[in-house]
Amino acid sequence: MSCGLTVRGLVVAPGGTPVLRGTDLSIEPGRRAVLVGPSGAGKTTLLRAIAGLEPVLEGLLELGGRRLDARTPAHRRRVSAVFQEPRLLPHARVDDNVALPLRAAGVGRRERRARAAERLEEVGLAGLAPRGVRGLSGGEQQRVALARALCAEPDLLLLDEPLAAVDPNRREALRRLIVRVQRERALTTLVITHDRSEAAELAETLALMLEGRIVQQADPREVFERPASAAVARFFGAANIVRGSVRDGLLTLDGGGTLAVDGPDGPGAFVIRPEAVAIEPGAAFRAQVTEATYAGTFVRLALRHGGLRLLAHVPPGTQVAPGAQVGLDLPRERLWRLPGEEERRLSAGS
Amino acid sequence: MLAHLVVVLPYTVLLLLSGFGPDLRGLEEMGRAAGLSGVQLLRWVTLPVARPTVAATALLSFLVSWSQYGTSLAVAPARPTLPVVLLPFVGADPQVAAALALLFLAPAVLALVAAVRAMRPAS
Repeated sequence: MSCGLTVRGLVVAPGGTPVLRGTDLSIEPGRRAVLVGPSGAGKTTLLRAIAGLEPVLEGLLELGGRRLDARTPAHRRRVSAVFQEPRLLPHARVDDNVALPLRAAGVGRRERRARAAERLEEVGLAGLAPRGVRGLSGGEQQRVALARALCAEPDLLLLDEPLAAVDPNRREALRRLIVRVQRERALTTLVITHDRSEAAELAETLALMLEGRIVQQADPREVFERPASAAVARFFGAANIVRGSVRDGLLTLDGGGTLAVDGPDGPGAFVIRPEAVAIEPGAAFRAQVTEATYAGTFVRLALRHGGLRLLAHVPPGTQVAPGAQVGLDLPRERLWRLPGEEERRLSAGS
Repeated sequence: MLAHLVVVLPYTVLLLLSGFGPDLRGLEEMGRAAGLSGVQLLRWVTLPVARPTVAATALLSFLVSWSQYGTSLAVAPARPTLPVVLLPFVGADPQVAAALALLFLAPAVLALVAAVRAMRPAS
């Protein structure tokens, strides 16, 4: 049975310094949510608070209608965690590591080992049961940690940067495994990462945490394409923010030039992702290339249009030299108007 | 015995501190998240993981204590420890000295064997 998670107004201050200041997050039963944010934003603190490893000063934590408060210690929460490092017991066999939660529940050794073998098969490590953990690779150790977490049959699975300690070329396989296992079990899961593309690939619902607060929680595509604020846009790499005044579907930029946009008249701030900006020789909107960097799968162009700086990711075959004037296509359907951004800017300036 | 503790304690504390570092704390957290109660955590995580460090510390403490002559003589000359009792016989006769050397060595070797056995994985 899967349970939904509700976090409301959570305040947590490890070591006396407030890290979470009124955090809200909700995950529907059986869904896979990813919490992303820069280092130090408070992601791991939130995970630890949910797991019962960090005391909560204020706020509500609920899992499937059950309150998780100070009276529910970590071992009674039915929450399993996979940490950034596998944290395996060095003196125990692989299957005994996996079966640790069953041992805690009083299950006999034979039954424990049989169930551990099933979990190991589930994570693609059949046959490793009697081995020690010392000879395993980073990826194998992380799979053992995942098998251990599943062995507890939790209501909620927490994964803290599960791919960080794994070789880059093994990450893809582990990512697929996490998605498959989560789907098959319809297990409510919260994954933490600081890597935005990993977040997009893993998430059914994506939440961005900045300075201890969730600033946007939505479908990954929406967070990437339609950010709630300039800070969200910047984190997800949509660094192009175009400000100006809209009249009759035409945005007059603060620094000169016009672009076709959607939406009502008035001041507005629009973002467009670098991948959406294309070179169009005949376009009226022109900019100067200040830097062109070959990045393997694309060429990153830094551009200037008056006082406005733009970034564009264009196909790797594109040949443009710094200093060249190019026409740019900024498709109107890819220009996203930041909600309330202009009002915020005006009120901050007044 | 108190005098020996005073000499041995700094070594013991330093060694145990290095063994009970962040790794052990991380494993204890994992244990709590895996559903282990306090007693279970101590029996199945803390003690087995700390075992090699405790064994090495015990060995070193014993060796330091075993080689204490001055402290034993100064504090309790009326109740000498085994090394202090054996000391006057050294130099009397080469054969006695050789036998005593073995006798001196035996407890240290036994302690070493016990410590190495304790450092091995439990299962």
